[in-house]
Amino acid sequence: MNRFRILLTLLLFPIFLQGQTIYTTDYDWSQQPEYVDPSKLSLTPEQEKSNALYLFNIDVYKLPGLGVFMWFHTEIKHMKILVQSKKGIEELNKFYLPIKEKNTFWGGTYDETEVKARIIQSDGSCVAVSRDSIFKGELDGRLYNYFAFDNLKIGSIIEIFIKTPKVSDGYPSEFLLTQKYPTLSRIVAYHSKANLDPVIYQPKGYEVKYEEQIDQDLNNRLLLFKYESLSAAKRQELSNYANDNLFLHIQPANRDRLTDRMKMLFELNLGYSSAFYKKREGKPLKKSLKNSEKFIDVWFIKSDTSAIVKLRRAEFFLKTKNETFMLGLNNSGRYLVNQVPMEKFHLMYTYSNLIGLEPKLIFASRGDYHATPENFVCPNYFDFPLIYFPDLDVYYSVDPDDRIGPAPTRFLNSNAVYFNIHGKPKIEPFKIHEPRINFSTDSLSIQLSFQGDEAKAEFKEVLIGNAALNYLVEINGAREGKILEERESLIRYYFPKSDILSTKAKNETLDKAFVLPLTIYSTLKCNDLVVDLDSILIVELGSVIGNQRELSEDENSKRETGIYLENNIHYVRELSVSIPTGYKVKNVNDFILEFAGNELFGFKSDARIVGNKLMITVDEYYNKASYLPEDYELMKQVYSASHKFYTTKLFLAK
Amino acid sequence: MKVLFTDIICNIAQSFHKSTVLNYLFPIIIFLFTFSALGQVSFTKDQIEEFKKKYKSFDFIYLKKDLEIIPYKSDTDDFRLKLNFSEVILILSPKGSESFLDQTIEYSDAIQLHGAKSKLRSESGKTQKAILSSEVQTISSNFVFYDGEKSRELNFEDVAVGDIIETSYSLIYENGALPIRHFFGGFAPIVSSNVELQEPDWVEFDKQFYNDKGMIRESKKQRGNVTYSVFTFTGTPYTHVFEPDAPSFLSLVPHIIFQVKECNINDKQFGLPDLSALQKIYLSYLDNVISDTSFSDLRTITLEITKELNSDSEKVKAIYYWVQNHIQYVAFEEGISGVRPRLGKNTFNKRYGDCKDMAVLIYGMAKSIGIRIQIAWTGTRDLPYTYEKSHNQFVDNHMIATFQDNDRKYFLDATSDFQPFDLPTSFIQGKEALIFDDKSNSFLVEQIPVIGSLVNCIKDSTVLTIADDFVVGSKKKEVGGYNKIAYFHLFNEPDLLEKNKKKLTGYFFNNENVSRKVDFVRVKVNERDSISKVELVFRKKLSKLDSNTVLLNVFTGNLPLDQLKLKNRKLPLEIDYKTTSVSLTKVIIPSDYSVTKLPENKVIDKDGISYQINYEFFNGELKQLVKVELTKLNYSIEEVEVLEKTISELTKQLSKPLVLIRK
Repeated sequence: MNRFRILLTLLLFPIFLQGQTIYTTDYDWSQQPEYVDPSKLSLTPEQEKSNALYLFNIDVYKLPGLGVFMWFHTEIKHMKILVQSKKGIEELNKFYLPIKEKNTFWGGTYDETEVKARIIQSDGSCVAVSRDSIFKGELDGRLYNYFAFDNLKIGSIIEIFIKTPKVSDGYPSEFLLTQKYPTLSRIVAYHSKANLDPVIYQPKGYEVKYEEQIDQDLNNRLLLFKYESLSAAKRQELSNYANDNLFLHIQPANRDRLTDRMKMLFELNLGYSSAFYKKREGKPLKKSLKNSEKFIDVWFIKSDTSAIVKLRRAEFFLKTKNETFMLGLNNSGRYLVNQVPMEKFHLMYTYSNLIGLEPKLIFASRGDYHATPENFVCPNYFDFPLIYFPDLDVYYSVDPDDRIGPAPTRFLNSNAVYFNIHGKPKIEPFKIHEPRINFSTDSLSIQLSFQGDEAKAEFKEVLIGNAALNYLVEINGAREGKILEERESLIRYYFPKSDILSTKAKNETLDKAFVLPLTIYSTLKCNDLVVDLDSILIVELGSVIGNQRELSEDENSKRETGIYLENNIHYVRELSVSIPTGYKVKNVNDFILEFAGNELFGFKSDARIVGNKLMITVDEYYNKASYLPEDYELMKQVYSASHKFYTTKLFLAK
Repeated sequence: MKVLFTDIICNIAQSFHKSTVLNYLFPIIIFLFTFSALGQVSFTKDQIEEFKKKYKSFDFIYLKKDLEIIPYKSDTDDFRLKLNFSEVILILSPKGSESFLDQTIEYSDAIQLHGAKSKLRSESGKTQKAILSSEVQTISSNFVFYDGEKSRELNFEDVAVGDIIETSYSLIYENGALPIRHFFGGFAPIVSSNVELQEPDWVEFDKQFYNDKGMIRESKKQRGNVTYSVFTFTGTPYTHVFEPDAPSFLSLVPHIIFQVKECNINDKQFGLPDLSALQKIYLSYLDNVISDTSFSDLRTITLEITKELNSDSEKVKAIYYWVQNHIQYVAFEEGISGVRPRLGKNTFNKRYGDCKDMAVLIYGMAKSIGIRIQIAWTGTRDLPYTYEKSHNQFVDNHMIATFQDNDRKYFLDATSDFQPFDLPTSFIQGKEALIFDDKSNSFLVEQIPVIGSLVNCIKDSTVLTIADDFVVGSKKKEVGGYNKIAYFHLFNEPDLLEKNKKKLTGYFFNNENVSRKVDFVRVKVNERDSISKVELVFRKKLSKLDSNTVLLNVFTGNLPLDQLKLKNRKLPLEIDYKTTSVSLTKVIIPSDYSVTKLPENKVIDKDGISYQINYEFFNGELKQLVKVELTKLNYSIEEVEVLEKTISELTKQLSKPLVLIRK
């Protein structure tokens, strides 16, 4: 506490007292006047035209202190919205207010103790909204408080008040500053213990001077933010910084404290699992983990000890689990599953530690904030967790559908932080680089022969590296019928309507991924590939390389962001067509497409007649997974070439 | 995993799409899949090995899945039912073993769970008992609220391939008069399934058989004043698989509905002897609606909506469209809310409601201006039941309003956002409606029509001209009936057209992947009462065999069934609606080219599908007419084969290009 602050405190103390009476946790909606006469408001034309108007929107947040592991705090939300048009009535009849989701990574609980709403009509009458018109529900995966307001008229004011004692951890408080309708007054009152030394992040271009008040005993602090309405133009300008939404963030701990907390969280979870794991070795709890063990052991026995196999095993283990799986104690002291909700990502980290992969926890920035590792204070500036496996040089993450897999390449080359829990815990800058293991090959070989308008195809596809991974993960642990279905569906990518006469595969198990090439064989009868016009055969030959992306017109505009592929990949295709007796190929040259691309990515096809066969080779490669925006112009030529090949037909005529 | 029910729940949930009336019974239905049995089961090692071989492509099988139904009188002289479920499962894969680590049993406030236990016997003879978890209140999502739904889990510490699990539990129904269903089939193979019904002399059950093909055997025994009937399925129990566009599980699985017909306990009557008894129950749900006087509060808005309209049918149409536009569909499954509609005024004020709320709102609005509207119950197409055979709560799951205008009846289902006045929603076509008329205070069962294929016609008129190296097309598409509703959803978003132009072209061309430049000229899809129209122009590179020979694909439309899986179907096909597609293409042949040979004309007329291809060449213009008609909603597997073959022949025929030779 510096001298200036003490002085400020003494000077502002009378104001603080006033502030306390208004924006404390005793705050209730009676502290604001019920009715506000719209005619007495001085509004901008934009505010006047809006379907509705937030007269005010207040958040009161009280953090009495930090627990060792969790924070207990109280949040109050209070808002009044004036209905200004018929459309406003339609929209506000069913009003959804998002409930802050529990932070996906850290967990937390949110149970409102008080949710109430009322409508104040322009004649001053005030009707409380009944409980059966306030629901809690889920829409598109988000939780909402759902309010149904009856009898709204133009000039009605709806008022909502929510008070919530919460338990959360790790994350800074987040206050949304932008709303659907113009907001005359946006107030955030943040109470905390004075010694917590909060760190504040306001959106660039929308920073307000806040009042900081500390009580006489220097125990409590209030930060009072009062934002004024934001015009649409200003919002647009600010959207460059933070998409459409602007937030105020307050982090009630300094960096060391945060680091300590993160360390604690990890050690607690890891320690718990490790201790449990060790105890199991000593037999007493053996039964408890037996089933999970079994899955692990299968992979231990079947595989060599390479890191890749361990990762596959960890991945497999997770895929077989419910997302809520974690070991926990029930009342009788026995370990059970499904007792403690836990995120897959966390499990991935924990288990890969257990099986000796020594993962690194990385937090990448989604880019909404111009955060750098240097100004890293709150985890939600770097809010996308990745796990880096040094032995493998690969990043893993969990996607929004809760699937575990190699991290999206959009994070490549971005700034990130690495939370080092080994030795003295610290947060270190980390540059995400392109992993070397990404190399993948998809090699296709197809032999076609014709009898009238019927074609027979011999199909062989060899998949190496990531090219095989998704398929192998999909069929992992599946029964025979399902594997066959998946195999056929892979073949149908090339021959969507043909009859598959037979299939077989080599190295079709997950433990072979990155070790041996997956090879799929098939024989097919194709009725839809050839059109017989007596003396002319038309063959949709290009289509057998599978659907190729066609650029839409809007993709012709200048590219501003980098291009990210799922992984780097090399496609090698060899097509061999037996020319039926008496026929001649009329358009060999249509299958010779000039090279488009450079040393990093490219497409080239070649065709020649050898004896009674037309031999076509297609070579397409993307040697990196990420490219610069300026690469796009050339890359479009590659895409166009591959699509052109796909649509090219072979003409055979007598 | 909700091990016993997961797959089945999905199916049932689907079958209860937009359901209301029956939804409070949902938990009940779930349980009935899981039963088993009447005694100890034992199989020899050889038998088990045989099962493993026979069912190797499955994760687990039910060796036995039995149910025992025991009616009894409570201390308070209420009629109760005790259902004893028992099942024996053989684990066949690691996935199967994972699934059975946790078996979830769901019940509710009105259905109590007793004596749940499960034990496991491994191949080596080791046994393990499952631990029963404490009770959990189940919460559903997506604005669907169930009341009092609970569950408990039976947890094993370890389950391995080859293990045999025996699970049993009982459910006590506080309302014994509710119908009970037993399915001789499920989503995993069942080796044996029996149901035993005990009928003391004071109760009589009605047994309704579905999809059984005469293969359910009944054997009876009398002990004292109780008749014991055992029902056994003599055929191979049905195993359901997921397949798109297939009839529902309920329409395929052999099953019995046990419904209390008569039951007299100390002069208290329970049961549903006939349809009038069900009507009585339904009427009790409507009492607040019928006696409601607040519908007059809807008069102001209704008058405003209908001012300037003369006939009753125009007014009802306006009300119907207003409800579609302004009331958000929210499903209510909570206790009595699942069956008793809210008052129209309530729904009007809140601007949301489920099917029955919308039906009652239409009824109330019309009543407020003196127009008679009826409220009706109906089942969606996935329910195979009729009111005559199954006059119980399983028979329907949906409510609509009906309006009689002279000789024509309109079936008004506002749960669909863009439903034309003259079409019932596609998912109730052909179903019965149980219509209540408040004026005559009577019920009437009437069949909802199946809409003919011509109403749902897609007309495609295309003119093709050849210019330099390109073929240029000008296409007009006119769409009616249910196809129009699909177009509405596709095009209604203002930005959608631009954003998804590439994707949308798939709705206009038979091969969306062929490179072509497309520009939409006019799109008019947002009127319920007129045909939707879309106009576009396109150009694509001309296909040339050599400098003198052009190959021109005349047909550029798309065929019905393009998106459906027809090959190697395991289940019959059920389509949403009948449809006709007419494509008329005019090709302007350049004067320096001649047509070598006109393709053959063809007419095919088969059961469920017909098509016609016609070519005419006159005065330098070639005209191609292609008309395809799908005339059925349901196709058996054999019929699908014919369908697939016919469509494939037609596609092949149409893919033959016209050969133009330079003169």
